[in-house]
Amino acid sequence: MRDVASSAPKGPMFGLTRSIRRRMITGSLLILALPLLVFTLAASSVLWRFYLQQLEADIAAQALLMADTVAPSLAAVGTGYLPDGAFGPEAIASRWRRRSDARVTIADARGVVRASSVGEGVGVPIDDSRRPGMRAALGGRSNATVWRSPSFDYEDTMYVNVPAWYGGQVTGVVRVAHTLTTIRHRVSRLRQTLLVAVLLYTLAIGVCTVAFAASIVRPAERLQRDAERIAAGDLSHRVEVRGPEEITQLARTLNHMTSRLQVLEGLRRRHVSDVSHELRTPLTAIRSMAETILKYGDSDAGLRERYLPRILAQTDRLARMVTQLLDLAQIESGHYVPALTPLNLAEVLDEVALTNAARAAELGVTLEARVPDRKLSVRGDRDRLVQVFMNLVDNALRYTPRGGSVTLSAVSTRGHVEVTVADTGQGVPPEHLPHLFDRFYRVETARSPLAGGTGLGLAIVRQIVESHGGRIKVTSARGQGTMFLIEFPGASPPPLAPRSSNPPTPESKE
Amino acid sequence: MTAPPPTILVVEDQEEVNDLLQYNLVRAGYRALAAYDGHAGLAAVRQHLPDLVLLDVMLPGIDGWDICHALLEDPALSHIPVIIFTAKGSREDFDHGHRFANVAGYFIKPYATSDVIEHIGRVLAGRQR
Repeated sequence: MRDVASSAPKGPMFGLTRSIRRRMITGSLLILALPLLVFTLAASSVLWRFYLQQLEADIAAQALLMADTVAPSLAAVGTGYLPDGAFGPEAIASRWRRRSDARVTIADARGVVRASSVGEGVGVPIDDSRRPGMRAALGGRSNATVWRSPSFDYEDTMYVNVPAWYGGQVTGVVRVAHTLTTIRHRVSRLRQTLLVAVLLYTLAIGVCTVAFAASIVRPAERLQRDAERIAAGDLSHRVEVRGPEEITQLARTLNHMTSRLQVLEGLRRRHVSDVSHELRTPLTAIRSMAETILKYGDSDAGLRERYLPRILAQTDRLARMVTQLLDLAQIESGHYVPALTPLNLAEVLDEVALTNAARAAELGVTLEARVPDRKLSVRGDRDRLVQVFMNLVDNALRYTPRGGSVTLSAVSTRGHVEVTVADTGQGVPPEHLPHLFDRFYRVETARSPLAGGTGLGLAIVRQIVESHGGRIKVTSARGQGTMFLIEFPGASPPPLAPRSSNPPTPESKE
Repeated sequence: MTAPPPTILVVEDQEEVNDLLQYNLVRAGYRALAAYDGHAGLAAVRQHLPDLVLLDVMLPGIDGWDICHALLEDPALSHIPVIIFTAKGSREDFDHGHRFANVAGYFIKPYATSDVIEHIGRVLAGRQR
């Protein structure tokens, strides 16, 4: 129990913190950091290809230049005359000797290697497995390949083979090999720089996001603490309205809700206090009577005779009050939905009048029901509506002097059904009228507490009428009586056509 | 029968309850007076100068606390002890009662009449000393 209470409020909040932070970090990384990473990889790939093309073009240019230079010398192969010096294969190849990442091989038209910058395989035919594409170039077409050559420790190496043309004939082939190490280094250095930048940027985004998330989560946490305090019962507490718009909106809503709760709580307290008062009052009388009879009953015989019937009457009244309180609680709980069935009002009102006939006769009050339209009906919960009319009649009988009358009537007007309960009593002073339907409100002078009244009857009447979609009004004239008027929505609304086609009648203007 | 019996005023709007208090007071040897609303109660105190007032809080007209206050304001009446009856039984009422110097007792309804009579005896005995 304790565990649940202490962990329950924290659970959702902790989840929210984690969730909002996680979502924001994930979101910002996806939106900002991931594209940069992709860009970095794409850029290095593009750059790699660019360098590769540039290298190929460079090598090809050099090879072409060498091929042009060496072509005449190669043409002389086999003629016995082999020119020496600056333009011969040896001279050209030897110029590359110092470069570790590039090599030059020159072969004659028969495919015999004439010169190599590393002095390898000179005088022997081209080894295709070691120098691919070289023999193919003797056919007159340049070619370029990237290959992992054993000559360069299996480094990726670009080979460009260019035929040497002289006098319209291929006199040999110049092959330039160049490792990709340099450009690989360049590209990877760039990629590393970019990756470090992306990493730093991502970290910065992460830090900013965490801070940003906190700025959102912190006001929410503040609201949550306030809400918990309110939930713990401090209904006078109000949330401070500040922070981002959504938070201030939420705070305002929370405050509004708390105010409403405070009002309801005030009503509830008042109700409990009223109920306590109303139950204690008859209990006081019962207790005093019983106690006095017990103490002095033997010596004063009149006490029993006088107070025992009153004890019974007060007990009955208490029981009635409890029943009515339960009725009210049931109707007000919102669970009460009247079962609507068509009720013949003439029948119902006759029944109410008949039930109260004996009491009315005893009080010397004329009680009658007047329903001209014997077919007039409303839709409602029969038992509850009978309760309404019984309460009103009971009330009217209590305030009507001997010789007066209480009249129940029902008519249909303007799509409504109106039921009235009118008496010829002393009337209700106007200052009491607005409170008549408040529970425990009684218009009684101090010396004439009318036994039996619980102060709940009219409150119940109003609740039942309103649960039926009706309205109740009361009018009273001093010395002339009081009239309660209940307006029910019509059981079957009158046809619309005559109403809408008719111009307003004088009655409806009034 | 050397001294006349002390006079107790009962200010209570519920007729039965008022009547029974009077009956019990008389049987206990007091002289009992009754008032059924606030204004009548205050007027009766002024007129009869009772030795003690039994006062209900919820009264038509002016309520019990207002009467307490009015009695305290009047130097001729401020010495009269008042015993309060309340049907509310709430903490606030009880605290409220303690703010009045003339309140000599506080009973939540339904009370035991015998307790009330006993308490009256104690209060009056205390006053005499």
